[in-house]
Amino acid sequence: MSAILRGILLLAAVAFAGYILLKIRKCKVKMEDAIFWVCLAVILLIMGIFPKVTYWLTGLFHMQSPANLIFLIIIFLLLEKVLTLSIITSQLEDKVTILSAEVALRSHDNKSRTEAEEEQIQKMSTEGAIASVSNAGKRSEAYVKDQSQG
Amino acid sequence: MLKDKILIIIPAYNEAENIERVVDNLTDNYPQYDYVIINDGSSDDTRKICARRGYNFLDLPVNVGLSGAIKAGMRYANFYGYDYVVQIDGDGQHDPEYIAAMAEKMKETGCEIVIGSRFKTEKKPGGMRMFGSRIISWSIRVTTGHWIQDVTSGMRLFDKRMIKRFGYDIHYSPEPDTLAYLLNSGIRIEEVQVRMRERIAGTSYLGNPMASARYMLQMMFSIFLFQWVRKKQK
Repeated sequence: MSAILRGILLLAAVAFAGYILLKIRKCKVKMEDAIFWVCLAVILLIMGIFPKVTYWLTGLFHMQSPANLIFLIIIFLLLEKVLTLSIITSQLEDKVTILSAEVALRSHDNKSRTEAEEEQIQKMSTEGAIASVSNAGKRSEAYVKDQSQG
Repeated sequence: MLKDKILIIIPAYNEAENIERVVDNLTDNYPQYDYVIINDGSSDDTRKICARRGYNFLDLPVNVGLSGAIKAGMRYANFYGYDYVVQIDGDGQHDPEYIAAMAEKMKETGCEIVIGSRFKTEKKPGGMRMFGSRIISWSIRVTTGHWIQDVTSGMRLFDKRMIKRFGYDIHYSPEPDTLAYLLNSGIRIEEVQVRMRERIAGTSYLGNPMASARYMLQMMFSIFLFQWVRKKQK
């Protein structure tokens, strides 16, 4: 393993960890989602600091060079991330669909309810108006009667 | 002083078998407290029951999880200007009887959070579930210097400042890691001994081992690493 590769690994590990921790501090990422990136940074760090571990693993998997193993590990980790992200996005998409359907449904329900209520109020007020008009009519009749009797 | 401004938040996910018992007990025996049920996108009859019985409830259209439900409840409390919030579970394991004692404790000590604790004066039993609880208790002790016995208790009383934070901050989940962070920020947390009933119906969300392992992993990362990079606000 060349010194440059080790240097790159160390640099990448520090940059990853620093960036994700900064994002946590700024409330831009949930802590659950940062765990993966912290673990990735730790793996890179271990491979950078202890090349013997990498050599041992390279021998274990009968590989040509440690660089290949590092690529393989990183590719697997990234594949896992893409897979879980893909699952999460489809769940989110489904949630957005349900959410928009529910919002539409509920606002429709609200609208039809207010319309029904308004109609009822209008009906009641016109009935009330008729009632008051007829009451007034009765009263004036009574007045006329009173007058004629007097 | 406390009575008229306390709101009880009841997060409910598929609690059709329990919710009526819980809320009827509340309205019959403790009418001095306001309550709101957060129906967390239940797939059973929880919503129908709430609507039929005329309960006060927020109906979330999709399932957002416990911390999302609590967030909704905290925003409700903030919107209607409540000073204190009590969180109790929708399955009836928490007795509202203890709310008065918890409020009393808050008044007495001037702390910001009171936990209804199963193990304040009584001994913690053994077993796998309690093993996790022990580890978290110990982690909090190591990182903050404070012992919290019942870290996973779902019965908690919050004051106005906590309502704002739990309603609006991305990192404030109703979990033990938040307690550790708050203790280190100078927030005071007290425990009051309560007795909890066993669940009568339904199942707990920490049922399967995979979920438990995941939960423990999250707590450990959060308590030992992430809390140190978060901004401290008193």
